[in-house]
Order: sequence, then structure tokens, then C-alpha cells
Amino acid sequence: MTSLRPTAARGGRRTTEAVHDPSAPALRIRDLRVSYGERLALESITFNLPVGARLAVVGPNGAGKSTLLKAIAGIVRCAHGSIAVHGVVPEGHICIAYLPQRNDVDWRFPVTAFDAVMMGRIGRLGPLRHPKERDRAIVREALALVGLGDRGKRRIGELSGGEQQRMFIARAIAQEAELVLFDEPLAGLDVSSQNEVLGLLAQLRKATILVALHDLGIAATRFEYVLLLRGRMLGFGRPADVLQPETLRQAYGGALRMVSTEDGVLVVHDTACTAEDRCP
Amino acid sequence: MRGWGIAVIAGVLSAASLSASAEVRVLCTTTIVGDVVAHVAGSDLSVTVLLPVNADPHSFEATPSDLVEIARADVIFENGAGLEAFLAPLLETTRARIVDLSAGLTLRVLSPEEGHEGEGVDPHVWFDPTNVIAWVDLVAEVLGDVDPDHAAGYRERAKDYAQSLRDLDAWIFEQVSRLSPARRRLVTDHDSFGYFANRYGFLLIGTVLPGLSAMSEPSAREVAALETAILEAKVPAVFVGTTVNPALASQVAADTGAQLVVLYTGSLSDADGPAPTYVDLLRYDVLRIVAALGGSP
Amino acid sequence: MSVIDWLIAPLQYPFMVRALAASVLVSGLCAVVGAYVVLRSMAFLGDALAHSVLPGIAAGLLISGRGDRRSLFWWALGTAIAVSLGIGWIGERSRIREDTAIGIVFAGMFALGVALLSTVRGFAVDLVHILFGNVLGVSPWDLAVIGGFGAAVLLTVILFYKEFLLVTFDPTLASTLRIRASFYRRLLLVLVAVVVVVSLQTVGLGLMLAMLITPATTAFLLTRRLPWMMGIGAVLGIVSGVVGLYLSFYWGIASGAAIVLVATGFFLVALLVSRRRDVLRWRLKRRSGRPVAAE
Repeated sequence: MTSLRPTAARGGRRTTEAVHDPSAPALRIRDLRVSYGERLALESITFNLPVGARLAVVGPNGAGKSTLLKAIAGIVRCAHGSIAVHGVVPEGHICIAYLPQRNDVDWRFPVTAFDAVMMGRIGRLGPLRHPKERDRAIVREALALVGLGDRGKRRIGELSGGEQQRMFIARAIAQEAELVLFDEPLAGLDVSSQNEVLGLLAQLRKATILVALHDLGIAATRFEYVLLLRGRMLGFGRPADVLQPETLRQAYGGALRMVSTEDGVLVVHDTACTAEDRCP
Repeated sequence: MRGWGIAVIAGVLSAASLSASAEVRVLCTTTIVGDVVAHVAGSDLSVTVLLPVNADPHSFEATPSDLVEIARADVIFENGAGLEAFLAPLLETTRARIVDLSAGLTLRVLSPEEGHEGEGVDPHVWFDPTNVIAWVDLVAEVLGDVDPDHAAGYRERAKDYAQSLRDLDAWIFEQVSRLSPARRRLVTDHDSFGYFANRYGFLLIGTVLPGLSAMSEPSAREVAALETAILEAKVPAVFVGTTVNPALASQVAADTGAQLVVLYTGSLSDADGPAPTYVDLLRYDVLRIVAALGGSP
Repeated sequence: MSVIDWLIAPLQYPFMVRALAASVLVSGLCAVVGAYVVLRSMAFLGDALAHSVLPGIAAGLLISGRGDRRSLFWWALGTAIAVSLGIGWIGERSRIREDTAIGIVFAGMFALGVALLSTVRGFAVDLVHILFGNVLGVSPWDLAVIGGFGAAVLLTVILFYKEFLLVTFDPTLASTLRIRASFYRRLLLVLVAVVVVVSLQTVGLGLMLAMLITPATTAFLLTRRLPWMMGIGAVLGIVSGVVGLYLSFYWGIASGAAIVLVATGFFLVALLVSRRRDVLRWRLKRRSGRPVAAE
């Protein structure tokens, strides 16, 4: 069951992480349902994810990928069902890193990359405490690990798209995150930047990683597990098992083209085709 | 913009109130005007006053009952000389006869920036009782016009009141004579005592707020100059009215060692205060001025 | 007159010394809190709060019967704190954005104040303006008030600096780190309310609004880190105050207006400088082949 250090007050600040249950999976979700007011965003989500696994969360726009990640992070409330991270509810953890979409961030804010990464450490400091040399060393190391060692003093607005994503990874490292939730990190990046970012996921060694993606090819080739969503769970498991034509048709409607090649069926996502009635 | 809406309402109300009663309705703008007119009208006419006690004309907001008064009035007496600029939009549609009491007077002319609401004249004419004597004659004439039945009474009371004003004038001269000319120096919050200074031989050293408007802002140079003038002239008091924020004046007084004295300038006091009538107002102010400037009562 | 004499001459007047002290304290305080106001796009919160205190002042007059500035100041302070918390509450509980909430509360509160005043006619002084101070009319009590409250506000900002930064910049991260964003947001709104009312009664409306926004925005153009933004903002505000007061003393310009004009002048210079710098940097990057910053 859950094992929790007592909190200060209702919804109080904690600076110590909940004790993880070593026998529990990294993520255990049962029958999750999330609503935004009247609108049902997600339902019937049920799966287990082992510690250290990499999961790609795929689905068309509005499928609920962001919502799922936010619910796991404990940012959004669930209407029904349960989420257990290492056997404990999300609110008990400060080791969950949620890395937001690029356009949710105010890039004109006057903070440097170093400052932004240091914010990840705030969870470990209490109120009224200021960062110590040890925290600064951790931040510097995190920046170096993602290849931003010399960019620490730059304002975040001066970083390129790929550098911004790497900065978030560094923040997750500084946070000592054990569950990392990436919300569409590859959007708007060119291929080499995308490869850079994906390669850096290796720096998050012990962590369990969930990445919301659009690119099915990347999901298929670089992730151990895939979760296919469209408001509800359409498939979970190994990529080869989930990304089948039938389930894909259910998820994307007619917006997918199946092309037969020598090696098998090549699935191409037609992003121009968004309305079902206009697609063949 | 606000003026338009009020003018429309006033117009509607005045049209609706054409079923007038026999009695003539008289409305006065300020409490001072109201007191003077009431002395002439006596009990033959009821006089209503628009502005409440201690109100600042600049921030006056007319309520619907005020508009009803304006609409029902047959005669409206105003101070004139630009004091009631705020009322202009409200008065546009009234059918009443508007009487500018200061119309025939010699007014102090000031440079345009200093004028009240942009007019180049000083409206504080009531600080010279001889001006108010002229008011009284005009009031009697107008009331006699609109209410001929009682014209004789108005003339009679006007004569009596004018005599009391002449007595007041003499009394002020006598009081002021206790001050040597060197002591007759006034420092005020805004330029309200011009007519008084002219009549009774006072020198206006300066004002805390430049010009006549209570909303103007002084520069540091002006404040420094005023303090220097106060110290050089050894003025013992700074006189402020009841309608202006005294913060700046009280600091100037504190810094120069002068006493801060509050006088009634633009409005009478309540009925149980020290200045419920115009004559009482001048008596109170003069006594305090003379005492503060070093004359013995 | 030598330069020294020229500098010293105004200081012989106690009101000038107090004006300089008040200007320094107010602009320093406003620049620190103003940084948050500017970054959260709440620029007209200052004006809204200044007018929203009217019903509090009216209530204070009616209930206590005392119309002096000192007692009314406490009523105004309490009202401003309540109003700022109310604005925060509206923003959290509904889908209404903060700037809309500010507008609605501003209009409603001011109307409530006018309504209260209209029921009791005949106030001695124009109550809408009673709380508005004048930098030349600062009393020793005013200085004590701003010094005391200013110290408390600065202390709070220092103690909770990282929480304020987090809550302002990345509320999502605050949520994942289980930091009560709503508590710190409200605390920040309360600090703004305190600074607004205290500055308002010391130096008046126009000067308070300008000192809250302009130096912080100028610093924003010139710096890359928040602590620098606050520090440079404070310095700019202080310099504007000193220069403005000297202009008022020697050239006879209204003091509040002079200070605001100097601060605005600094802003315009910074605008030109930062544009040129950004263009230059952009050109250098293109030449060196480095990727251009994402917007």
C-alpha cells in the first residue's frame, strides 16, 4: 500500500520524497477518467509500466496526451480511477518532472538557463532556504550532461529550440526526477535536434520516461512501449503489437495512409487531413 | 459626457414640471449665496441651496433630487465669475432665470493659467462685503420682479441687510487696524483672499497651491520660494480653507514654524458651527486672522 | 555657483530632504514589486487598487467619524488588501483572466465608493483625492510608514524569492514540486496592494503608477536576470526621483510630473539601445552560422 511521510498541512509543502514501494511498478493506472468541467478528456485508461521503461504516448490532436501526462504529474485532478507512482499517489512525490510544451512557457522572462534549471532544485529546499553550493554544482553538472555547459548564462529566450528542450532535461536531472513526463518535446525541431533530444534521454538513467509524440515512426523505433490514445486507450504494449492498421484506423480515422513496401506496411500520418468526413 | 446625460434628464424634468404652484421657487448655488438671498427673501419665499455645507464645487456630483430642484426653480442665483463652471451643463436646459450676482462687479483679473477652470478672474468676491452689498441690491430687484406682491418687503429687508453689511465692513476695518501694516501679510492654501487683501490693505505673500484651482500642483521651486518668503516676512501663520487637502500646507507651516489656521472660505459651516451665516463667517475668519497675525482681540 | 553649492542648495529646505528620501524609498520599493507586476502583465493593477480603496475610505469616515488622513490610511490599506485577494480569488475560481478581473473589481469598487459618498453629502475634502499625497508634502509620519512597510515588503521578497519566481514564471513546475502556488500568488498580490497604498499616500497617484511600471520595464529591456531587473529598476527609479526633484527646484516644473518624465526618458533610451543591441546580435549570429534564437 502507500507509505507516506506526514505532510505539514492540507496540501502542504514537502521537501522529502515519499518512500517508493520497490515491488510496485513505476506507474500503475486503473480505469482513469479525467474531465475538464463538462468535457470528458480521458477515460478507461488502464496499464502498468515497469521501472526504467520508455513509453511513447501517441494519438491525434486532442487525444488527451497532455491531459494524461498532467494527471500523472498530479497537476490535474482525476474524476475517477487511480494513479500510483511507485506505489504512491502522485501528490506524494516531488520526483516527478513534467516538461511542458514549448508554447506554454514565457520565453521573454528574465531568467538564464542556469536559473531555470535551478528551479528544479526548489523542491528539495524548503521555504526560507536559499540554494547552496551543492545545489549549484548539481545544476552545473546537469547542464554539462545535456551539452549546455557553456550556455548557462544565456537568457532562456536566446536558446534555440533544441537547446530549450535540453534545458528542460537538465532541469529534470537537477530535480533528481525518477519519473519524467515529456509533453511533445520534438514539435518544431529539425531532425538533428530531435535526435539530440532523444539521445539525451539516456542521461536520465534510472528514470521511467513517458513522451507524448506525433511521429509514429519515432515511437515505433525508439521506444519500448507505446500507448495509443484517442480520448480513451486504444492500445498499450510493444510498438509492433499496438501500431497495427486496425487500431491505427480507430485512432486516426481516415487520416492515415497505409503504404505497402517490401519490409512491411509503412504507415504515413496525413497531417493535412483532420476532419473525418473529408478523408477517404 | 456626463454633462450630456444630466442635461437631458434636467430637460425632461423641467418639461414635466410646468404645472407650477403659485409660490416662486428660488435656488441658490452655494451656501454663502443662499444665506444672502435668504436675508432678502425673508419668510416670503423659500430658498433652496444646491451645494451642501463644505462641498468642493469641483467634485460636486448632482443627484436626481438636485436636478429636480434645478428643473423646478424659477430663479437661480449664482455667484458668477466662473465659480459655477461645473454647473453649466446642468443649467443649460432649465427654464429658470439665472442671475449672475457678480455681473456688475469689478473682478480681479489673473493670468489665464491661474484662473478657476480656465477663466481669467478670481471668483472669491464675497470676501469683500461691499461686493455683497451690490449683490443684495440685485437680489432685491430680481425678487421684486418675479414676485411683485412682496416687492416692498424685499426692498425693506435688502436695505436693512445692506446696513448690517456696512457695519460689518466698519467692524473689519477696526479689527484690522490692530495689526500694524507690517503684520498684514497673508499666506493661504490657494488664492482665495484677493478681494479681502485689496479692501483691507493686506499683502498676499504667496499661496501653497499655485493659482485658484485646488487641483494644481506646485513645483519644488515654488514651494521653496514660498517658504523663503514666509521666513523673510516673518509670517506667523498659514491660512487654509476646509475644501483643500491640507497636507502640503501643513508641512510648509511646520517647516517654517508658522501656525496652521483653518478658515471658512468657500462655504458656511453647519448650523451649530462657528459660521452659520455669511456675516458670522467673515467675523470668525477676521478674528482668527487678526489673532494669528499678532493683534490682540 | 559652484557645482557643490548647486547640489547642496535644495537640501537646505527640509521639505526637499524629505521629498528626496520619500522618492528614494518609494521608487526602490515600487521597482522591486513592479518587476512582478510587469512580468505578470498586471500593469493597471496599480491604478485599479488606488481607486478601489474609495469605498473603504468612505466606510472609514462613516464608521469612525474621523476624516484625517492617518486613520483613513488604515482603512484604505485594509480595503486594498481585500481587493487584491478578491482579484486573485476570481482569477483562480473562474475562467476569467486576471486582467479582466482587475477591470471589473476596479469599476465596481469605485462605483460603490461614489454611492456611499453620495448618501452622506458634504464632505470637507474631496474624498477621492484625500489619500493622494504629494512628494513635496511628505511628513515625517509618511516617511516612517513607507520605511516600515517597505522594510517588511523587501524582507518578504527576499525570504520567498525563489517561490515568487517559480510561481510567476512556471506555475506548472510549482505544482509538480507541490508548492502551493495559490498561497504565494496571493501573498504577492498582498505585497502589491501594500506598496500601492503606501506609495499612493506618500507621493500621489501619478507618481506611484509611473514608479511601479516604468523603471521595472526599462530594466527588463536591459537585463537578463530578475534580481538585476529589480536592482537596476530601483536605481533608475531613484535617479529619476533625484533628477526630477532637482529639475522641479531649479526649473519650476511640477515635481511629480518632472520625475515621471525623467523615468520615461530613461525608458525611451533603453528601448532604442536594446533594439539596436538585439539587431546587432541577430546579425552576428547569422554571420557565424549559429542557429537564431527561437521567439
